[in-house]
Formats: sequence, structure tokens, C-alpha cells
Amino acid sequence: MKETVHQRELINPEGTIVLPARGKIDADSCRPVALEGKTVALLWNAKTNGDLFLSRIGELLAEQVKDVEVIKLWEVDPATKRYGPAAFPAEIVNKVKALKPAMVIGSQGD
Amino acid sequence: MAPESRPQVTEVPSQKPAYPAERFNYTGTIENANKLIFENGWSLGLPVIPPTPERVKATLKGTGRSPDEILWVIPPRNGALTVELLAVHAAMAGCKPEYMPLLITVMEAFSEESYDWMGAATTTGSEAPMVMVNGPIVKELGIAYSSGCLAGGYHANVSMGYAINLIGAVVGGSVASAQIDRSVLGSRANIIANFFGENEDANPWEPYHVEKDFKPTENVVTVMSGDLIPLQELHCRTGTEVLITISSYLSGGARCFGGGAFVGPGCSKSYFLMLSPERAAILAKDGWTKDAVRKYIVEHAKTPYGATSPKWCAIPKDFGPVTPETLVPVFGNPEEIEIVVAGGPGTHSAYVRGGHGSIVTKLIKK
Repeated sequence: MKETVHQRELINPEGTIVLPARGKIDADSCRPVALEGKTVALLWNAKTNGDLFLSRIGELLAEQVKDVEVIKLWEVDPATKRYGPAAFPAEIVNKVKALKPAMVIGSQGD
Repeated sequence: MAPESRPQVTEVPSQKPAYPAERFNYTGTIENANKLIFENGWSLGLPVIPPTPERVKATLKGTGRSPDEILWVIPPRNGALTVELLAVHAAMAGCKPEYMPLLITVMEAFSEESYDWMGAATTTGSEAPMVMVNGPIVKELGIAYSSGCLAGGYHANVSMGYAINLIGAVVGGSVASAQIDRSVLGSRANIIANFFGENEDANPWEPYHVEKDFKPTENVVTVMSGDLIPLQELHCRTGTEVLITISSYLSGGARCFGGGAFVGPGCSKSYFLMLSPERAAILAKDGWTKDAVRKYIVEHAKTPYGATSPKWCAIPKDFGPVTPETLVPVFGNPEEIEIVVAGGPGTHSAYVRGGHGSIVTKLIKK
């Protein structure tokens, strides 16, 4: 059976991507170019084995980066073990910021 | 070696406007148009009606909302869902223009932070959207609420259930085949969502939306993310027998006290019990209220502590000592159980076990 060929206009159903409005990124928010002598915080989302994954990253950092301080946030404050839409209220963010990490590494998913 | 990457200090680049959606010319058969649509990731494998501007314009007649209004920026892709784009997907799924106000409300309900669309759309679990509708709109739109209301053959239920998932996948980007939706198995309800009306005619208690302080004449939509599990039973003759059976079914799942330690801020404790009209009638005839049903289930849905998962069971300190044989309650409190009446004649019921987020109930504005 021969189907009819149509000439038509179609609409792309994807829609555009809207990036979160972040404004200008200040220099302090940039990733550091070096971690020597700096603090790295590890943020676990409470999913099984995420702590093991992060702990291994911490071990590798300690082995390979001179004078790096690795903080396992879940050991410092179990309240940081969170996920979901309300995972990081200002209270939690401020707790992490107070430790002045140069970088926070999180484990997501499970 | 420390990482060397450093993002540029810059402004976010300008983007294409969300409205109007991009148009393009296409020449070919309907079959080839569907092939193009599928290969671009714009459908889920089922055929769609190619979205022409004429068809979308006709669908937009079902709402007074401005087509350029952004209803929701859908994660994880952060795609902007305008009213126009919603009409595009409604048209692709075969929805009628008069479905638009309901579809808009459904999308607004999904967009609420407490629903946690991001978690539900990308989880390794098999959860899928569930939509229940209450009020006169159920009959006005022909939404199935009686026999086989979750099955095929009902245009409103199936087309809207399809449109919802098209939007989530195409605009929101949660596609299993692209490894964005990380679901281990997925669910057919990730293609056609579980979409039904409450059987208010056969409900011996007050309808769900009235229980939630809406007027009987108001049109209301309730959404949640979860897994629909059949609750099959044939032989109960009294309300107590029905409850014994239901409690036994709900005792599974290796969890206790509403999920225990595993249930964090992003995880639902809710169970949405969809009683068949016959079972609701037996319970009501024997004097059971919804609250009494919930209380009974909390007290009787128990499982041996040794059969629970350690991560899914946190025993409260005041519970006392436990052994593997100690029966522990599955639910922490009656508020974790919602009760509705759905389906047609027969004994079988079902329940939706909550996945991420919370149940959201919202008034439909025309």
C-alpha cells in the first residue's frame, strides 16, 4: 500500500532549556586549581554504599594530594545525610560552609 | 594531581525564547513523521499525531491561559513547559482541547517541590505518576472511574496518561533508554500513567477531595508517584475479613514504622489504597469508617522484625526489645494511608506504594 506524502509544518516538542539564573560566578565559587593544603568535604546522600565510594575518594586524595584535609560530613554531622527536594536548606548549607571546604564532593543516586 | 579545570567567570549565555516553540517543514508520510519523531526522542515508542500548528492551535482553544506562560521548568533537563508546549504534547497524544485545564493543573501539581519530580523521574525504582480526578469534571470529560478504569478503551484516561509521560520524557528529559531515568526495570505506567477518576457514585464514605476540605462540586486532581500493586482477594464476607486480607498484603515490603531510617526528606511514606466499590460497601455496612480502617491497618499490618531490611526499619526507642520473631508494625501512623474507591463490580482492589515525594491535591481552575 502506498501512503500519502504530506508537506506540512511541524512543531518541535522539546522546548528550550532554561538554565537557573545564577548571575555572575565570583572567583571564590570557582573550582580550585590545586587542592594542596586545602579542605575537601565529602557529602553522602545516605544511599547504600555511597559512603564507601566517597571514603575511597578520600583515601585517594590523601594519598595523592599533599596536606589535603578530607572531612566526611556524615561523621561530623549526620544531619547532612539527606536527599530529595528539600535536602539542602540554608541551615545545612551554612553548616558545610562553616567548615570552609575548597571543594565539596557528593555522591548521588544509588 | 589536583584537578586543573576552572570554569570561566562569565554570565549565563542568552537562550532561545521558550515561546513560540520552534517550527520546521517536513515532507513525508505519517509513518515517516513518526519515525522522525521517535528517532529525535520526541515519543516513547507508541505512535503520536504529528504536531502541526493548526492542531496545536485547536488544542489551545481549550484553555484561556496564555500560550507563552511557562508552567514549569521540568528537571532533569530543565525544559521549559509553556502552555503552548503542553498543547503540543496533548495534541500528539490525541487529547481533546477540553482536557487542557485538567492537564495544566496536573502539571502544576507535579511541579510542586513536595512532589519531588526530579527524584521520581530519575530514580532506580519503578515508580510512575498516578493521577486521580474528583468532581463533576470526571463525568464531563468521560474519565473512567468504574470497571477497568486503569485499563485501555477510555480515551480521556489513556490520552492524558500518555501526554503526561511524553512531557516528562521529552521536555523533562527523563528517558530510560537515554539512561537519564535510571529505573532498573521501569513500568508500563511510565508510558501511560495511571490516570482514573474516583468512583464517587459507589463511595459509601465522603469522596477523597471532600475529605481534603474541597466542596463536592469542585474539580480536584490528586497526584502521587508510586508503584501500583494489585490486591487480589475473592472470599471475604465481612469488613473484618477484608481488613485482615488488606493488612496481610500491606505487611510485605520488608519495611516497618513507615520505612524507618531509609525514609528521608525525599521519600514518601504514603500508601494509596484503592478499594473496589464492593469492598468499600462491605466495610461501610459493617460500620467501618475510613479512620477506623486506617487505625486497623496500622495495628494489624505487621511483619517479623527478622523479615525487615535494616535500612527500612528503625525501631523507636520506646518500642522495647525486639527479636527476629517480634512483630513490628509496617506503618508509623494512620496518616500514611489514604483511602479512595475506584473500579467497577468485583472484589479486587489495589494500592499505590509511594515512591518519592508527597501526594499533592489541587483545585482545577477552568
